[in-house]
Amino acid sequence: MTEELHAWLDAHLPQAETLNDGVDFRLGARVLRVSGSAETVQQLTDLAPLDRIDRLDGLDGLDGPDSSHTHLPRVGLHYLDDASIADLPDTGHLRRGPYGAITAWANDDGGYGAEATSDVKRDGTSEASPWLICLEDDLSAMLAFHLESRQALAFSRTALAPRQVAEFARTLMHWAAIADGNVLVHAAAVAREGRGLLICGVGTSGKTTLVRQCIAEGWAFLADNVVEYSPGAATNASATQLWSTYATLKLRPDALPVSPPETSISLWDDEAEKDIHFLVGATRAQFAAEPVTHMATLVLQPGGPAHPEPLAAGAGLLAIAPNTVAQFPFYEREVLERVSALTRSAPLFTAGRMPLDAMTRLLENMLEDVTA
Amino acid sequence: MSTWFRVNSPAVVFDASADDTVIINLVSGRYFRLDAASSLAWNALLTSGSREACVASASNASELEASIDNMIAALVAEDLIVEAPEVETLAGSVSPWTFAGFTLESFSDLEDILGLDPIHEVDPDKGWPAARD
Repeated sequence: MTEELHAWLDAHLPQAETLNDGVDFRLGARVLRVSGSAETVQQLTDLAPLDRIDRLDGLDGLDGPDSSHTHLPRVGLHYLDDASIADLPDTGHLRRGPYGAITAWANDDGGYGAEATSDVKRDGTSEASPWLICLEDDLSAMLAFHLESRQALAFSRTALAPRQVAEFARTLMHWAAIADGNVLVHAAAVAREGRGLLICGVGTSGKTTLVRQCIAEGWAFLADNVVEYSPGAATNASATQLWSTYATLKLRPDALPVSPPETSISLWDDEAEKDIHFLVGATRAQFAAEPVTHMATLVLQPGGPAHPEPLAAGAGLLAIAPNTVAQFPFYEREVLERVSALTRSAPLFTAGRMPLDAMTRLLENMLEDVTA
Repeated sequence: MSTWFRVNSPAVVFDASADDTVIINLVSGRYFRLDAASSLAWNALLTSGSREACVASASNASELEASIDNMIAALVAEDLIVEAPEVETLAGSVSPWTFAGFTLESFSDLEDILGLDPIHEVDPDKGWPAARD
């Protein structure tokens, strides 16, 4: 039945509707979505004998968080004991790890279970299928990621919350970034003529404000909250790179206006307590579809200087690493190494609240300095 | 008789830049910063593998002798290093260095998520990284 499911996915891949205007992002991945119509879900349900996919049966009638179907594996949660690791074959392109490759759950007796959600089989008979498949019970959804074509399909029985739409397939992308030797950083990023600036800082440090001001003044936009950092080797690039992720902005209700304003469609997200703006039109055209060279990193810190000033690599590592490491349980050591590489690969600066009308000029000066 | 130490891995991960070292204890959820001088001492202790070899490696051994017990105690108290048989250490030669003080700067703001067991301590309905009540 695995083959049947793959055939079904293969057949539907070219028919998929594009999500978020079909923008390309992260290593060329095209994010697509098949609508969660009764017909498509029924087709999948017909493939139920496959161990993991038969849990799609449980999707019928699931309407939200009150579901009692807690037996469904959770994507984004992973756990491997030594025996599980030894049992799982290494397929070369499917790496064991979080956010899709392995799901796990706690049992009533306090133990745990772990299961490969892809086609990696514990008996070593993996067919090395290009499909990576995840179920998300919270979303009543299945995500399927085609590792070779880097296209993702989502099947959902319920309306997705704005944040879930905005960061569609985040669990898979999160995992794929790690598998590719990269790391997703809680940061914003903008670029000027292919020169990328990574902007780190805590949630209220002003990343989005800075990004919006840059967009208003014609800069390219990569992300306001999540950026993929590539050390270079993984993509055969000579320089470290920044990759765009989601073409959205998350704005608090009291966000400052910018001029000219973004062209976007906004949806209020209860969980984030922010408006999520899906960029369209002229603003969308500024979204970076291609990676940019990582030229500098700016760490926004409360009480920091009004103009960017150089920051020591160690201070940058302290500001960025612990929070990023915390997002990747079981991959802490590798993530720490990659963040450390990030802090060494481009000059670091720090700033606090910069004058709104001078922000982009200060950033431009900073990029000019590091380019020179 | 020497007392040998090693990093308390895999619970502890660390990385050093040119001037600082960041150490993360994944069990306690606390993380730490060592400045440049402290990083030298940390590196010397781990590289030499023992209290005695560490002291002997410093150009100002007498100054280090007066401080090293406090330094080791601070690292042990945070479970960053543990006593271990010599064979488990990184014991080797240490490049010439000068002890200039040791300060272990500690941070606890990420304890909730860094120290969370992603299986047994998470909310069964919400999943990681939501902690069980």
